Amino acid sequence: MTLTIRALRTGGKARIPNESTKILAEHAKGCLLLSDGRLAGSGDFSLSVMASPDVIEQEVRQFLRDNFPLSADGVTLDREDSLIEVGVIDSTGVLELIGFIEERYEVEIADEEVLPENLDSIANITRFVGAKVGGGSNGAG
Amino acid sequence: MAQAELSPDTLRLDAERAVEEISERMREVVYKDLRRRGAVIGLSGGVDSSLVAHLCAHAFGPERVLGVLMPEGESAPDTLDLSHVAADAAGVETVVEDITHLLEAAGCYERRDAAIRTVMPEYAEGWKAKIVLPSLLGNARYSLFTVVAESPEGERREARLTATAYREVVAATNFKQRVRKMLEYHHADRLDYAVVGTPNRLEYDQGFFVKNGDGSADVKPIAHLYKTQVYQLAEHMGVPAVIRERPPTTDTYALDQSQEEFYFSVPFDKLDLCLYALNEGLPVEAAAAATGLDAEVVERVFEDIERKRRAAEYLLAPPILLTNA
Repeated sequence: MTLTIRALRTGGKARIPNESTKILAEHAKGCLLLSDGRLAGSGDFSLSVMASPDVIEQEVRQFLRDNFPLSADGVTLDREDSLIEVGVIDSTGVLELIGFIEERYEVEIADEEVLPENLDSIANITRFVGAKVGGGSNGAG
Repeated sequence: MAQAELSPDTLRLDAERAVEEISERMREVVYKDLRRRGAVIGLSGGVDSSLVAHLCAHAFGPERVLGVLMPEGESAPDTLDLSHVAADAAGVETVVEDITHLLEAAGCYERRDAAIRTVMPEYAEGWKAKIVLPSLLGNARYSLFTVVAESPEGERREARLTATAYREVVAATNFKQRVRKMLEYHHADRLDYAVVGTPNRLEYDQGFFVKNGDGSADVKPIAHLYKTQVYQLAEHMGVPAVIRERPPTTDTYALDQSQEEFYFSVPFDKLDLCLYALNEGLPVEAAAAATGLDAEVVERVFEDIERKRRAAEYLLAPPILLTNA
């Protein structure tokens, strides 16, 4: 994910939208984000951030609740539940899930990666997305 | 042993008896329940509609049956000829309604092409396209809807569809089935006939139809027949071989598209047996032995059948009245 932050004055605290996000790198344009979160300089600058597993899981759950009626209909999903078997998503839903992950986490998912072990449960999605954005193993496939 | 209980012969019908039973029921439904005096059928040149034309001619007499042929600019070249062949063999009267101008007016092609361009910007006028759902066989991946396009020079491109693009393409092409049904009802109203639908069991069970398009009809006489049974009855009733030997096609997209590519993912004869096994509570191993598919593949087919059934619930639901609201 890339965040654009406007720093109004030197020494101000950067406000990261979600406190659980971990800052991986910073690209100062007129200012610099210090390790303690304070800013040196002022102006717009962008940050590359990595969502933590907790945040990914929370966002995936929210995405499912917002987009698939069954999951909003009193069905509580365990982390390991198969989204397809439970009937939460179908073949079009898989495309929607791919679209959500690609857009939200700024990653590309190859056809070969569209496997149940990467996408068929909240736990699998969280692990897969974590690996994609962390630049490590891209999960199964 | 369970394996011995299932084979392609399991689905073989007493053809003569099946034809008589269907004819008797159709007469009851159309004459008594619906109080209509004949049948309108949309003819596509495929085996299903050709069989239904023969069944209707047998049930009502050919003079009380109208076959409506509704080609459009992207129909396969042989669609119209094969529809005439079917109608001639059944002895029924036909009317040809070219629906291209109606589809253009509705924006069918324009909306579809705009959606395809969101995933394939080079797709332009003169290109042909189809939607493909890769086979389940030997594949642990999810099946992903993909657009396959061909330039006028014959160059092929493929692109995975986004959910939005897929829905836009389907919504636009569904105009074809809905415009056709509109015309079938026009002729039915004009003649005081019933509209007879042509889905077979696989299509009906698995939701392979357009709601208020080819899914709409007053009576569906072959919706209980497996596809292999459709072929058996078609041969029994004299549907010409040129139609029975043609691979099933959707005839919805400009590029040739088999039903397997788009929807069913395994050949219909194997799917018939899997569906039968699932309906009868037979084990995976029985379907594997009867189809020659690996047990793992049969399991995926079973799962796919259940998934499609869930999706079909919406398609099959009649308008729901809120009488207890």
